[in-house]
Amino acid sequence: MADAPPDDLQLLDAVRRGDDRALQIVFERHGAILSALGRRILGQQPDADDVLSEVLWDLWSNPDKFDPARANLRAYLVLKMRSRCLDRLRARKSAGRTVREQTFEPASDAPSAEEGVLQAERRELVRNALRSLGEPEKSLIELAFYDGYSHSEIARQTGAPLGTVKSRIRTGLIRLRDVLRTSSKEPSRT
Amino acid sequence: MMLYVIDGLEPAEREEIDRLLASGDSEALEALRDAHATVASLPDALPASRPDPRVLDQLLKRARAESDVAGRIGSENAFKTSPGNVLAVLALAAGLLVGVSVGAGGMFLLNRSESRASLARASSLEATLAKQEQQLDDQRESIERATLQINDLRSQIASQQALVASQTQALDNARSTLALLLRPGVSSTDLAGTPERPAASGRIVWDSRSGDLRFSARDLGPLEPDRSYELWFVTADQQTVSLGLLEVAADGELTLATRLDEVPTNIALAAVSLEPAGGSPEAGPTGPILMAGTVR
Repeated sequence: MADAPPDDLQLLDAVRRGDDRALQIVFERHGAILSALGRRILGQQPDADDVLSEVLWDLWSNPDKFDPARANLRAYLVLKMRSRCLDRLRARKSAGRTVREQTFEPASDAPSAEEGVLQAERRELVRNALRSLGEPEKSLIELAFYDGYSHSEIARQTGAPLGTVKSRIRTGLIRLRDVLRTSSKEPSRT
Repeated sequence: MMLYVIDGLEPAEREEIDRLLASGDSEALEALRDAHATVASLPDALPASRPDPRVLDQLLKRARAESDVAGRIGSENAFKTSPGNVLAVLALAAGLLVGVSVGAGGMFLLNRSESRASLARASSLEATLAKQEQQLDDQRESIERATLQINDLRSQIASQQALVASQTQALDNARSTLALLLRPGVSSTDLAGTPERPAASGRIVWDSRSGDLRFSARDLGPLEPDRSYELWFVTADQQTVSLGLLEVAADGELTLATRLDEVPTNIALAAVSLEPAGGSPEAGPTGPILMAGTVR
């Protein structure tokens, strides 16, 4: 592999060649965000790590499932992680297992030794963008994305018409995109 | 496309986008990449988390074990196909052929009837194999036909579900509008098209106490994909309050059903404007006013 950090396509080629350093780079580059997502949906770190392992092994075994024309590697992995976590959550519910709601340990927002400053900046950027959406858009997006509720289920829970729920989620995501675009164009403040 | 990425579309809507993406439409693919990137940014807001390093150790061990097996198979294949070994294999095959021919000839001479029986058994086995292959082919064809039928039925079910969902939604809207109209003290205003849309007409009904609001309009004309219709209240002191974006029903009716947190007390005007998709980026209308009605 080249000395410069490999991009998605180079990583994918390396995976196809069976170069396990590519697997290590994918883990180092995206493991933390996938783990955070798994923990948010499943509530338990061991379960999140278990699904993370499945998702990365799937990339290793079937790299051609990833289509760079449809998404970048990060987005592909995030959405696959979400989908697998929600499957596991539904399986838990249908099996009638009572899973204690995990109380998240207070997370430090300061960048750790392993976490880059860029990632901390990105977190602040997205948090601010979500705050700027206001309610109920922010809560509706979280119900759909993290809890896997269908829009009909959200409409029933909130008492809002289905069309309004869809419209608000769609509008919220479009605004989020626009805010992130604008913010990422601004010079970072130090 | 945003709703497509978070599984928020009805099956029929989803199939339509699947078809568009499968056709390689470059704008659709660009919109999909954009939507993926936006939705995938959501977990960035989560508290930091570090996966157990043993996850990577186990993955690497598993990957290396798999590579070792693949390597061994590869080296065995390399042995079989190296030029020196090809000659050795050919010599061995020639020897075996001669041996088998001599043996078979001897057997033929020594025991012709046993050879005939062997040939008959081989022939029978061959026939059985051919029959089983035919049965297998038939079964494959049956499975393919059944799969096509199942896919067809799934598609029909999806269309019916979409229709039922749409009708249920329309019924729910009608019920809630009726309930609102029956409440004492509700306000209503008729809206007429401006010169931009002279044929348009609509009505807005709201309950100032609960904040419930319903709007319905017709003949506003076709809406470009990158535009939205937005409904507004304008107060006597020229303040604008966005009431939300209009939903376009299959029959062309434009509706909005919402509950306002706070209803302005001095509403002078209700109006519909044409805005960029997702609504006005500012506090008031940015596009042309297409319908308006004075609140009395």
